[in-house]
Amino acid sequence: MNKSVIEINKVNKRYKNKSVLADLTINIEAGQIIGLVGRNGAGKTTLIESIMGLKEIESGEIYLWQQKLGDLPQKQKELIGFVPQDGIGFEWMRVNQYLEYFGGFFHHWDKNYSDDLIKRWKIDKKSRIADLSGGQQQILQVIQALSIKPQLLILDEPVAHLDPNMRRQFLSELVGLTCELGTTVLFSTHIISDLERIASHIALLNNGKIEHFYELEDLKAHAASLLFEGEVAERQQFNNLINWQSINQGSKAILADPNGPSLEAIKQQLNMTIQSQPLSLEDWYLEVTNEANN
Amino acid sequence: MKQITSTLNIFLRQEWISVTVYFIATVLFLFIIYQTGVDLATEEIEHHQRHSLLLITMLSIFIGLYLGNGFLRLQKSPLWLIHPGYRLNLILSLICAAFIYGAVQFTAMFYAGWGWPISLLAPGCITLLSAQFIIGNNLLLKYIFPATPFILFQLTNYEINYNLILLLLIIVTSLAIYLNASNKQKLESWASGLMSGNLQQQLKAANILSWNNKFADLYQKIHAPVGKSDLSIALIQPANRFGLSSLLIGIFCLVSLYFIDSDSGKLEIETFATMILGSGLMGGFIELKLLARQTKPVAHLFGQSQHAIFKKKILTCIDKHISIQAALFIIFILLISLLVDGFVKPLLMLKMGFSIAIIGLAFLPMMLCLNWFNINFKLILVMLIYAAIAFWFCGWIYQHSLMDLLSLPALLAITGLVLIRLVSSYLWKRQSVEQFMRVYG
Repeated sequence: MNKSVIEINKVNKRYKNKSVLADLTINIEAGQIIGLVGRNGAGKTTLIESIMGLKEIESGEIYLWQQKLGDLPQKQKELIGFVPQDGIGFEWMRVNQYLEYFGGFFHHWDKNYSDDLIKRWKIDKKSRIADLSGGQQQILQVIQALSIKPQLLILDEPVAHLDPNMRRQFLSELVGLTCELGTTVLFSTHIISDLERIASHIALLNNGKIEHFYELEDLKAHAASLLFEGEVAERQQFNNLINWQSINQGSKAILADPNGPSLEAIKQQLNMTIQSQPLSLEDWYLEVTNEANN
Repeated sequence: MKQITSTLNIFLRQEWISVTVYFIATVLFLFIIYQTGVDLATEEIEHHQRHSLLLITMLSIFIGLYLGNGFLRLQKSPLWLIHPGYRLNLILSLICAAFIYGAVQFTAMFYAGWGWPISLLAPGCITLLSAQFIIGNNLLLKYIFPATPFILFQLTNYEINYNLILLLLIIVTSLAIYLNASNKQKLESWASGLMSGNLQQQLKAANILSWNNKFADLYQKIHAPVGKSDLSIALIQPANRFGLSSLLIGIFCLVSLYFIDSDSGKLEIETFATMILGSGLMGGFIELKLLARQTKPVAHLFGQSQHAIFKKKILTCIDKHISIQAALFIIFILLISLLVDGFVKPLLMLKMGFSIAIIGLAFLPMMLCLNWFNINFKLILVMLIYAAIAFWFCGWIYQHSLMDLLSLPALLAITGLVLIRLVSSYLWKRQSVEQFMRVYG
């Protein structure tokens, strides 16, 4: 079994009267690429910033590499790359100055690699950050995080401003890095197709909890829309089936959780024909988030 | 009207609670100052009136900066460019908000013996003019207009009637509002920034930005921004690093002193010092709070228990910055006094620079803990204590020689400031990084 890189136990966080994280628990192991999804305001940024120590949690524990967040040795801290959601800042700096400045904070800073990325992503080193487009500014932040050669990379919506070409390049770079260094990646996104392309796991944050956390291949293999030939009376016994609907002489449901009874087991138990149609990841996301909010 | 009311709520941020808190603070502040500052039995009524006008000016400047900040945020909407109704709504809301706060001060001014026209109109006009410091998009609007109330009030030294001064004030305010309303090109640059406009744009007018960029290039030539733990690069704009803010405060001082006749003294000096402290340092803290989120990608490197190292480093670099600014301010004043004989009182300015530096350093950690973007009880309380100490301390310094700094009352005052520094450092240590990074709300 791989070693745990991020371990979060029963973390709670409230903003005034609104609970954002409620007994949230998740364990992320080395080498995993976790796509964190959830509706707007679900608490993705709060979770990410809590892991980075930028938000104070009310209760619970956060461990990085099995050590309490506050007790992490300096060398370990320098192995964390972080791209926050709220813009780059430093508008007065030029691109090369920005990278040079951040490089000064990290021992493992790979200048050649950062120069290479700058060249490949066609960003003018001499440009002032204020003159870069929103997407280029975001890429620059990503370059800064990647050039640390991080062991843990935490990205808060890193591709929101990128065009499809840049997104592709960024994602393949991320895959290359994880293969080369075994980097563990946690990234939040609303673009499910990107997640499908690179993530090893998907974590869905809803109602302050990680409600779904699966290996992506497992989920893709099992998630399905099911059509039952007859009415199913005891629906609650299948807790991995959601969004039940009664239709003409039959029922419809979504198999949302790959960890519950398999399709074969359900067929045997109900002793009826079930038509199964694979569900895309985006459809799965829509179904589970709709179910959670109904 | 409904639209104006909802825009007003955004301007006033904490809705009407802030007006109530502000009213209580105004009355309390004036009461304290009257009790300690002027002996009504012996002072002339004119002096008493002048005193209250200076204080009201100071409070109005404070409010104007807040309203300007709210206005600027709403001005960022593309609607400002394409929808004349939106522009009109914002301008009317700004005027309403300024006069609501002005009305709060009406009682205090009326009590001080001013007639109703000036009591009713002057605070609102001063508030609108000081808001230009934030929303002005050129040097005239940004620096000259906020200084006009003070310059106009000094015209009484030339026996010009207050009603005429009020008329001039209304004309200048109308001109400023007209220039704001007809400003359609500046906001184009906002659209090119990230979601909420970039940080530089939030902080400075377009021509100040280009200065800042030139200073940045110069800074790069002198000192490459490399080096571990140099958080100050993320927290202070290059232009201010070169003392631009000290220079502007210095110019403001010189202009103000020019209009003070040689016989007037303690009261004006007290008020000047408080205003300089208020406007100069407050601008700096707002800038720092806006820039703080630039440290997010590296904050975890200093993330031991309660981010103690992170906070200590921030405090150290701001301490250094304030000290350097104070030194630059003093050098600037001394140079001017050498060049222009008899224009300023160099020793007095030296003492004021010293006072500004030590009071600023004493309060600095506490200032870092405050939310500068909403008017709230904590902020008003700290500002009142801060202003009262500055007022008293600078008045005392004016009346005494440098050697008197070794006397018992001075030593007690300095000990008091050291204690304030210790308490405020403790508060800063307890402050969460989350609160520090939070820009609004």
